[in-house]
Amino acid sequence: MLDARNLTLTRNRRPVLTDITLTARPGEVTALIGPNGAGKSTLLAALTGDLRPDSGSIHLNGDDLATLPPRALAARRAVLTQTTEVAFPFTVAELICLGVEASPGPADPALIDRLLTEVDLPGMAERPYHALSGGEAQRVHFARILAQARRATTPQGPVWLFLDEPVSSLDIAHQLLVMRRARRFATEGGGVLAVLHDLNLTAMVADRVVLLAQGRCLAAGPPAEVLTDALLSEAYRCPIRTCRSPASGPWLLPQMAGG
Amino acid sequence: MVALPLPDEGSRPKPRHITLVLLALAAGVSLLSLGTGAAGLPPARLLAALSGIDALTPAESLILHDIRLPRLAMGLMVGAALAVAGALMQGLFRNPLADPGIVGVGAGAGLGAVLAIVLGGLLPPALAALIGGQLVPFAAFLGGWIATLILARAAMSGGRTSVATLLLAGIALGALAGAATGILTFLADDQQLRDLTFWSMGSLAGASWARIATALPLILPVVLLAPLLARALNGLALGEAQAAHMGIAVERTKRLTILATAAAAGAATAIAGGIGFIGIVVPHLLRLACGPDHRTLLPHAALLGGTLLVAADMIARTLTAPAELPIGIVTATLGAPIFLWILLRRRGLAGI
Repeated sequence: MLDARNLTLTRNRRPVLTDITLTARPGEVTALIGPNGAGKSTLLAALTGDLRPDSGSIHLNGDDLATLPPRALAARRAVLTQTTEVAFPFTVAELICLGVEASPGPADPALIDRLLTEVDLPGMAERPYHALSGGEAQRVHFARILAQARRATTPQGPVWLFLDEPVSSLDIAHQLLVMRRARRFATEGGGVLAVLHDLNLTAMVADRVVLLAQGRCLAAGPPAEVLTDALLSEAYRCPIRTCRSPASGPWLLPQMAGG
Repeated sequence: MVALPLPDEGSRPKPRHITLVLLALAAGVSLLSLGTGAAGLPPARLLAALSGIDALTPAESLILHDIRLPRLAMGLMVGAALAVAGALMQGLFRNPLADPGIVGVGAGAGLGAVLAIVLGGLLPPALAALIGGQLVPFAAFLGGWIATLILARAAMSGGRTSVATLLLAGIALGALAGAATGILTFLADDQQLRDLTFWSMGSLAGASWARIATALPLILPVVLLAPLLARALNGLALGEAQAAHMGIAVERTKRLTILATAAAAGAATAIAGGIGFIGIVVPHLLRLACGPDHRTLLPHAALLGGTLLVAADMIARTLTAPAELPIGIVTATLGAPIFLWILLRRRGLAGI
């Protein structure tokens, strides 16, 4: 259980997060959505322990985040950041190895090859990271955090994936591939919290949606309750109409604005 | 960041093989260095003595034990310290061009040394007696240490390491230290002038077991314990936030790395003067040879750094024999073109 209460965070004297309370459950994919500058990445940074909130509390599996040492934290959560610049000429396998070493416990020797196949980069282990395209690089980092979170649950409780725009550089097929893999992680008992921009994708993969706007939590709940015309229009400050699609899940949101 | 030139896919040699090659190289160069010099102890005599065929005369034994061996030990130690400090600093700043000599630490140490040479006589006698003959190394170490701390403070503001700030702060620090050194040079008398000029160009000529004993307690722990920072530095290569996500205590790593760099580079500069480019060339060559993993990079850097400096020292001793070239001239002549080559290969790419 990820449990954040009354988070307030100020940066450069500007309030970025105001009184945010949210929970995310293991076994579910929780999507964090909202317009640019709503505070999604800042909230994620607070939830992963990168930024300390000015007030409020965060508990991960019942433990106060502020009291967990880095090693213990790395054993129960892995984080995919928006961008990762790699300073030295590492190979793909060496990078994924960093993920393996980041959490305790044995790893299957075939883990790296298996993960590379899962993110559709089979046989790329010895490639230099810097020769990869943007989308390939993003999938390598996804594989790296999957290596860190190679077990979805541990005796200490569920393991969490925090994903900040995990599909921003990916084509549609790989977007689905990555989100389905995250979904499978939740099915195996882990928790997933993902910042997403694509509302269609959100409707498709999320069990719960948290809608942020201007540093506040506007709504939280199942997609059907949050992805509504009124809430989305208010949050994104532009008229948005949602449509129902009986075939492919509860909602489909064409990128439609107007009237 | 950008790609450095890489060997073809899958052609990286095994780290163990590289270790063996480096060990063999170190042993070979060391033997060659012991058999090279102005006084008469040729390699043939050395080999004969080593293999037990023939005993050394007392004079030869003196040359070996009091001149060549300490010089070899100091070369290995200083080279290892400079290369490891360079690798640590590059890992910390996530930039292959960072080097204690380039970013102002050398200038800080130089200022400390010149201060001691020129103004050392003004110290209260009690303090002078306490420090004894080690005043110059001590002051150089202090100067390098202070420069490192200023630099780290300047480059790591706001929780991020700005490489541009680092290089600019290094230039500013170097200019300031240079100006202060200039003033002291102006004040110095003839003997002091000679001392400080030779100090600034670096040399292993002052090698003695006593000198080695003063620097070893600072250098040996850094060289031996640096690999403990390897996992953290590997993580830092992805960024500070990413390293923290992988369970690395980032602030502690940064502080330990700065401390280790200042200790090793400061002590090396203190006893051997300003020797440039070892810290930048050695890690770069090793990354080309077997990848950037700090677990192998740091011990290999110690081996290759020591070997290269001993080789440079041989060149310095033989090129103008019986006189000696300052070793800093040799390393700069060999190292500066390599540094330029790295820069030019990266030109037009982001990240510097």
